Amino acid sequence: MEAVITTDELSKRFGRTVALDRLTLEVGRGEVFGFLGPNGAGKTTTVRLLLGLLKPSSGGARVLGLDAWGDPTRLHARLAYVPGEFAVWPQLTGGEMLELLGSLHGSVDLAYRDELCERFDFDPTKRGRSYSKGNRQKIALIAALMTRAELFVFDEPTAGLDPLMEATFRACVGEARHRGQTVFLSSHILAEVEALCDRIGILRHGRLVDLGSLDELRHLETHTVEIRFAGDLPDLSTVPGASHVAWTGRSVRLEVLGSTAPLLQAIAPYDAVSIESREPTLEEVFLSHYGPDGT
Amino acid sequence: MSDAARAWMRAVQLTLRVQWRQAATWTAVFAIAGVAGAEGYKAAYPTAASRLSFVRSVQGNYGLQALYGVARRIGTVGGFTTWRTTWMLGLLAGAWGLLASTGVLRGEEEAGRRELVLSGLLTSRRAMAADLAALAVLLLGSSALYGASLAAVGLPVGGAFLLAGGTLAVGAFFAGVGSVTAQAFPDRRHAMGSAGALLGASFLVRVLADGTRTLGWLRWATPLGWLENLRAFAGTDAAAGVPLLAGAIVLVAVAARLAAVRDLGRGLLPECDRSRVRSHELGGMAGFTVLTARGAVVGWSAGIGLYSFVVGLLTKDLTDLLRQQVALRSMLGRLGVASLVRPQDLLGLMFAFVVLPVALFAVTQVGAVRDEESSGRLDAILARSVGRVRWMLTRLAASILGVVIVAVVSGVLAWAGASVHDSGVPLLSMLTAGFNCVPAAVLFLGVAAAAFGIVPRATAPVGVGVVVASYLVELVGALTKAPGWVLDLSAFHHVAPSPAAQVGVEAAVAMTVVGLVGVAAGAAALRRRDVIGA
Repeated sequence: MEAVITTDELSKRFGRTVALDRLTLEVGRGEVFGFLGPNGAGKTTTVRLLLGLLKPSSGGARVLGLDAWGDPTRLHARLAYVPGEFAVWPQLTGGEMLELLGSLHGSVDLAYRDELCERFDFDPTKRGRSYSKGNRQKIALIAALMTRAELFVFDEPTAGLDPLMEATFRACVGEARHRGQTVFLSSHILAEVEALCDRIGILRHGRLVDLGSLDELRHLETHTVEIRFAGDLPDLSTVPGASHVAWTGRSVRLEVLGSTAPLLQAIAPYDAVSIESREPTLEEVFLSHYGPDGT
Repeated sequence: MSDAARAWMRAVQLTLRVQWRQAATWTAVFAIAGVAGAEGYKAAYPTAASRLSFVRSVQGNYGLQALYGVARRIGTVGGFTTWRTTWMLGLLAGAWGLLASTGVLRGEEEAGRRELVLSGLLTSRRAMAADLAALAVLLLGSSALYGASLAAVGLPVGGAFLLAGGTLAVGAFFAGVGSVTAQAFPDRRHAMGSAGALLGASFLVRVLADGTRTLGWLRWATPLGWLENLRAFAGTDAAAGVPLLAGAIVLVAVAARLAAVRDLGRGLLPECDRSRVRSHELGGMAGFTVLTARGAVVGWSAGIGLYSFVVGLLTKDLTDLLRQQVALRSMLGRLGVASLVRPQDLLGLMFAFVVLPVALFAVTQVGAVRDEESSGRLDAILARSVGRVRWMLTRLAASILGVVIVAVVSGVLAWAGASVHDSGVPLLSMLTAGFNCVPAAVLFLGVAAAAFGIVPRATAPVGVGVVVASYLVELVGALTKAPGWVLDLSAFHHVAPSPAAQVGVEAAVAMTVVGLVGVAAGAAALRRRDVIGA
């Protein structure tokens, strides 16, 4: 798969603060990549480095085959960016801003722009300062989507959107994926990432702590298993990967790290009446990284 | 203390904390200008005889009085200091007042911080009272320090504090004006601009009142005239200060009433949410830049142009008078004008004052460039196929074009004013005088642009600071016969008094080149640095 974004030990320091620490990452063409992390993890710093708005302290980023810091204008002609909070020009109308941003970008699909205005229920005739937060965000989204760029860089793009508009956004991303466009989606909204993304990177304190498909990340994580026995009770404390074994009468609840095969072997001779196993939600994956007992 | 009272005190502290730096800077300017005026006079006119001949040279000279105000007891250090510095310090105090009040009463609201304050225990009326109380404290403190510094160089204490108090009362008056316009407009830019226009108008009325023999009564129609009528060190008429303070109180009361009936985040004036689409004018970066800069160019052209027009209008009368004043020439020689017998000579003297606002216009344009970055809007531009250097150079090219327009407009309007009375000043020489303001403005623009590239957060302070410092060096240096190298530090010193004298081509070219080098340095630094927000 052709790489659209490649970062190599990409780092950014602001004074003594390390905002991003040796990020190495690859996003392939046509992929929808989710970039997850709590507030202050370094997501926006990464996005601004990918756009060439910040200069790497060390390492580098190549986007669409171009050096992000060295050749930003050629790069920007081929990508579209949505910031988390779009600062409007108070004196311009929404339509004028779309016009301006389109002409600054270069190429715009005008028919698609009008369609997007319709789908996002956006009134382009009002002045910038009179738009609400959600409507400001729509300007940024429409301005990006209407370019039909090869790569979309979204930095918490749905902040302030209502659920209906969020659904519209998801539909647009789905269509973009269908057309083969690549999406880099930085977010802390798990449902959004879970619904849209092929692959996920998790950032914490400026470090990439996990990287993989949703399935791969789940396999790294614990399953919660509940078993009820009819006859003798097995000793489960020695099963590889098992922990937090808690008996309640004839029922046991335990956590299994990685594969459940050793557990199934261990209980095979016993009379297990029911087995319930839950895959962790992304939320649990996330919490296990950031929660109080996360690593 | 109740919780509400404690919250109120916190709000006062907050405003003090946000505003005290500006207050300290303004106070330093007042004190330095006042002390330098007094010390400069002592150095230049040490003997009674020299003072007497100086008084004779100025008495009845409406030209100088139009510039500086009515000359009263200028044979004394106090009288001279008042006359020579108050015209400018009154203007500056007014500017401070309106900048501060529109900043706290509209800027905070526009930035969305106000609603956080108001979501607590404070009502909007109390929050406003807290802001204005803080500004009052700063103005009082400033006038105390300014007065004390005047007294410290030997001026009579009563007059020193009257002059200082009166000057800062002009600040209070225009803080009142600003607090009313802050209710009228939904954005700080318009609130500031309209209050600034009123300040400019009161300056013009003052010029008319002092520069003519028949319109003296107009002094009672302008806050800057009330300040003059205080007659500090010259007979003292403290009652003239009453309209200043009463005016400030009335204006604040009006603002409070207006604030009570309007919605947060909106102005009282009907505001059009919609606008016709001007997409044909938004042809990419260039068209957009023109659209953004247009308002400022029109506003500054109007303000500076109006001053030039009035100056032109007065020229004929004043030169007729000046022709009779032989002794004056030595004094004006010190200001760089050899003789004042032709209208051109007077226009040359007056146009030396046009360079200052044109230079300020240039640096505020660079400040606007930085605003685009700090507000986050630049991200949206740079994320498209516009390079940062191209963006900066487009914006600054438009600014330089704006400087040329503002300068030429003021030249043409000065010519138009002079032509009304048939002064016989050719259009070409006034066009030249206008253009003559450009190189210094380009120099300051370059300094601000370099600051923008290297220390972006300091763009506006560095730009405005260099202009003001430069102007003070020229103003004070010329009076105190400072050594040549000190005066050479000031760009204003290198601006020939066109049309009275030939344009110094070498100096003009040198200043332009230095300015452009500054722009290039700024662009080179911008290429290497991060794009950073507020």
